[in-house]
Amino acid sequence: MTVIINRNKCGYCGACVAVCPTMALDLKEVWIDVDESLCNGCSTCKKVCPIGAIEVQR
Amino acid sequence: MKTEYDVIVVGAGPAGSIAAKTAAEKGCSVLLIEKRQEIGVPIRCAEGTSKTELMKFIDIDPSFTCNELHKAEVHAPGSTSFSITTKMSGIDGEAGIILDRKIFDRHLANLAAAAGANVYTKTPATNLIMRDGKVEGVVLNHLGEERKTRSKIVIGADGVESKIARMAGIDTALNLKEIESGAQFLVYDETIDQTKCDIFIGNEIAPGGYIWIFPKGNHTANIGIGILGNKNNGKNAIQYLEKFIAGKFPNAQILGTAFGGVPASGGLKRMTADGLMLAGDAARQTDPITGAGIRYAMYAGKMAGRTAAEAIAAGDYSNHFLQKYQNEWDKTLGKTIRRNYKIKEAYNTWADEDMNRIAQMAAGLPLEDFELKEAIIAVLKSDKKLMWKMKSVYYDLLKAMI
Repeated sequence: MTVIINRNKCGYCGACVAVCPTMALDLKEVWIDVDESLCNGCSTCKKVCPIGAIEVQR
Repeated sequence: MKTEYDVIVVGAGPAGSIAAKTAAEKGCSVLLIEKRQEIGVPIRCAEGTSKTELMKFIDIDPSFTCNELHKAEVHAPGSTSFSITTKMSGIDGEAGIILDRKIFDRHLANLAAAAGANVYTKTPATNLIMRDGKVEGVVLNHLGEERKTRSKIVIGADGVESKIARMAGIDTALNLKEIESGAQFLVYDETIDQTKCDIFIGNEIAPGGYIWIFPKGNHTANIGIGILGNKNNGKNAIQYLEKFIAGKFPNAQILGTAFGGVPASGGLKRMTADGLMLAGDAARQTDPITGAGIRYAMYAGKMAGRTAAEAIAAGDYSNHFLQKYQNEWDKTLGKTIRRNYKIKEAYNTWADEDMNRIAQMAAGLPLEDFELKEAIIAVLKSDKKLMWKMKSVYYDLLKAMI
């Protein structure tokens, strides 16, 4: 399972990081780092994203 | 940069800079690190705050104040509106200030530096140095080079995306009903009323939140939206916002774009560990109703900075000692935001028709003669159906008045 982030859309605000229950996401300076080994595919990040930049692949 | 400090503050927003300033003023050696290249950018904020609260911390400078306002007009879904004025706060000299956060945040970091703190940008904390469950410093990356920097106390002021707390084993993950998903444009439009703030509520236009227009002068305004994470109805914040702007300001030009997650959980239950304190958005210290965070962050920063200095003077960095900070917070602003969380939960059950009825009633009251809390009670008292919906918080409101 992994999170695909559209970098052209992402506003690197960190809302997705704040809701991720498994610490799979991290806000670096202007991008979101995804640790695929931690993602449980819950899609909470996708639901909170203000701009719709996130897709979750199961 | 030294290899050891009394206090390391992670994050140079309002909480971090005030914490660093406070601890440095009390004689601590302080390191303040910011992961971003520039302090204060990108903006993740509507930039509105209270003048009298700000003045408790710093002298207000025109370089970071865009506008000063005395009225906010609240628009209900059925197009009835009512006004809230700063006079209703009952505080002499109160005004709403619209900040320029880019300048403001750097100004606060400047004050921390002037107090003696070492400040570095493009320096993220990548891990905590832990020993026997105690926090003893941070692993940081300074311009691409990894360093271990030790400290007696770490203050995690690393924002909504905070990792410091989680590294120390405090779970800060918010669930969707505890976060507002926000989007904002800095808009240029000659039709924007520069003399007041506008707030638009309604389950259709901003479910579980609101749209704001905060004028910034020169025909510009922050026009933004916050929607509750679990109420988005399959649409993103920006889709709601674009629809609103297209309807109200068809000629709007977009001078800036901002996004953000605003904690609306009422605050962390646990904000300290051995050698660690959390402050600001990292500790979820925001008002769940308004989403306001600047003043809460500054208060928390001051309390945490002061507690750090006291702990260092006492030679005790234990969780037990640092809980003084949390106790002070819980008894003061923590109480307010926990109460507001309950009010927000009750408000979330309102239908658009409830909002309309309230707005019509409020529009008919001589609100100018009321203080805000009295106004809320007066309005609730006049509507039994709504009073029932708010029953869980009615006594909290009454208590807040006394």
